[in-house]
Amino acid sequence: MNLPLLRRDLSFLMSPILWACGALFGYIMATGANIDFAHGTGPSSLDSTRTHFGWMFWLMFMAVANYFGGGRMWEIATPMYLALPVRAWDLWKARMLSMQVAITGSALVACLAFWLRYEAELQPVQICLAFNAVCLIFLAPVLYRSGRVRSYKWGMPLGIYLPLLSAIIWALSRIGYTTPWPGFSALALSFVLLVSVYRRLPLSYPVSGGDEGNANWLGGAVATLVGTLERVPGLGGWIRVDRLLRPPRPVSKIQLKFVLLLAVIINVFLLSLSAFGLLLVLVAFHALWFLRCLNGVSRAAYLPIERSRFFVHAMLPGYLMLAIAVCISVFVLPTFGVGGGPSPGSVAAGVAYYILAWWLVLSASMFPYFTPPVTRRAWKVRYLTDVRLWMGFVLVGVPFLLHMSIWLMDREIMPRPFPGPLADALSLSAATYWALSAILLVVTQLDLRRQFLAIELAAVGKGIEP
Amino acid sequence: MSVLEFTDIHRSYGNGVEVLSGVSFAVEQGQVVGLLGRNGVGKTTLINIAMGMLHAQRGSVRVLDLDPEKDPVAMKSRVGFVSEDQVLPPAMRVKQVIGLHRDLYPDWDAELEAHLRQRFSFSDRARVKTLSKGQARQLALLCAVAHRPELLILDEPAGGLDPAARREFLETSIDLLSDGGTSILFSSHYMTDVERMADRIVLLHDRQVLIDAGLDTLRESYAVAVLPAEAGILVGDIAASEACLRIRESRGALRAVFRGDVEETRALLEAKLGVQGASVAQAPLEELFVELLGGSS
Repeated sequence: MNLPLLRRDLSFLMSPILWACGALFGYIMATGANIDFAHGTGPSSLDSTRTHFGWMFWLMFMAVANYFGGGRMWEIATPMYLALPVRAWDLWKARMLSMQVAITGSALVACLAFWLRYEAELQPVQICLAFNAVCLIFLAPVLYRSGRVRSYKWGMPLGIYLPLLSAIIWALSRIGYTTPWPGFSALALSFVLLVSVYRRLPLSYPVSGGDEGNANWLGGAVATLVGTLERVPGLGGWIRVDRLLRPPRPVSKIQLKFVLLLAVIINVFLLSLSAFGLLLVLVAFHALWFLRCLNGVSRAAYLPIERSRFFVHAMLPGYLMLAIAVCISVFVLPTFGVGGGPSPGSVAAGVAYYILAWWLVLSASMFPYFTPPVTRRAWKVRYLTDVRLWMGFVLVGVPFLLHMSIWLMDREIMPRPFPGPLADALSLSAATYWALSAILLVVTQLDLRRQFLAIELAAVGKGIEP
Repeated sequence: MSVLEFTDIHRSYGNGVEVLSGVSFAVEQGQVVGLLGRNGVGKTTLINIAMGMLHAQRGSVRVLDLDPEKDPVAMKSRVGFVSEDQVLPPAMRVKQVIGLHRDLYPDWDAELEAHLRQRFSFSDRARVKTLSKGQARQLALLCAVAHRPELLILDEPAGGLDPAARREFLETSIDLLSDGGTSILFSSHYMTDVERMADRIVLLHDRQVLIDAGLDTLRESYAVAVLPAEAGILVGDIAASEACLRIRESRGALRAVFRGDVEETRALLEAKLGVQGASVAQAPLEELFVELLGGSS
């Protein structure tokens, strides 16, 4: 087992996910505290959101510290850690220093994001376009030059994929598609995207200090811009890129997959905030699911099960997913204010919940596509013991029931006989929901810690002195 | 009793190219049959027909006295199958892959599964995509044999494996065979593997069965002769001889394969065809394969 490589990949994959979860969770906590669930609205003014902005920072810091402390710093320190007799205390000092830098930097980014959305009043669709344009400008040249993109099985380099998505979003905006809110999450996730990619690229532009180990995403961005300019006819001889930039390392397949997946998720999310976009997403997901099931059936032709039965079993989780998605889009999203009169807190909470629920349900039901639970025992094992699926149902179910009741009460379909106790009950449900989210976050972090611990122990087992 | 029986199998593909034309042979209970032939000769097609994954346009196939197309589930639950291009789902964990197979095969032998898991030393949590090629093939073998099939079909099972992994794979297969009456049909390009495992050889060539014989019989029944390419030796005369299966020119000499043992072949060459100075030897399997299917006639 290649330990340094494993550590690097682990930190690469886990850290941005943690960061994103932390950022969203922080935002939920900060703004969700003010959500008046009994009336289905969030804080009515910007000021009340600002009041809780501190909460967001606090929670975000934890996640960011994890990101840099557990991921970035770990990665830098690992080769040193394994190869040299570095004392554990030195390692911790380095991690702490890294956290300080990370906290300051991410606070600035969060402020910028909030300012863009609510002070500069940038329209969501503009932010969405900006996100894709940023990805295009910053990522495409580097990824395209890496060579792997051209042979990537999706058949399209990111430089083609992202403009296409931008074009789709632009076209949707022209036919009346307006997302009331994708701003903050788009910016936050695009930041994650950029950092995730550039921290693995040759970021040795002098801005970053010239040493690869000290490189940062800003240096990478500048280096990429310079690299892009180099390709413009006439400028190549003028800019002595060779003096500024080392030759790029190839981007690994796993990194590319991650980046593409993230870009797809962000865009899918943005699209799914409108009914039309959601329909597109659902159709696309379903088509993908269908094809994967077909593929599974053809691979499983040697197994003693009828193809039709296999196919039906394989497709069922897909239909489950579809049903949940329809429920979310029809009942839940409108109650969060999506589609009319959004307030930052309630919408952010809705969005975060939406992402979490989708992630859980999808991860539980979609990925083991090849293993349809073909026997009764397998059904039990799959659906009764899968914690992710249950958590997904809880995360979908509790707010769904909550908002369903509000929706019915608002329309006076359901009477509101005990406003006080009901409001209390609703608050309790909301609190349960936040608590579950917190547990989820903690569990994820613990898991990461456990993995690192295992690796550390393995390193010690190899006779390497920490 | 035949566990697998092909009768007059014909199969063409969409481009009109006929791959199999009147192939007939049977695998008896407890036999290990090596299916040989050059690339594209139809070995995989034949195996897919046996597994009910392809339809024979003419002829019939019976597996364990069942029709693979009419009773696919009953047939497949008694057969084990491993192929070179069989891709287990990469994202699944070892435990999940085994669990899926365990659920589907009613006669799953948990003890054998445990024994093989210990032998192959898989990690339950390892994903298929993180396994080496050899380990992935071992996992496929485990899934194919743990229900103690009556017939094991292996399509290039060791293709792409390094010699050590190939040997490990074969030894496991042989060990598994020794304690049960499992019949095996396997295709391979590795003659050493075939010689180690097979009791019988079926050689496909030119859409048909060219040779169907026991391994020992095959060794004793064919001889390779190297004839000096001198004036006076008429290739046409030799080729016209009933015992001559194939003759070709190679590096200034004529190489011919004859049906018959070494003494018979020498006698035939000297007495009937008047060829002197020929070097005649028993044909090793690989040599025989190359001579029969290798160069131009």
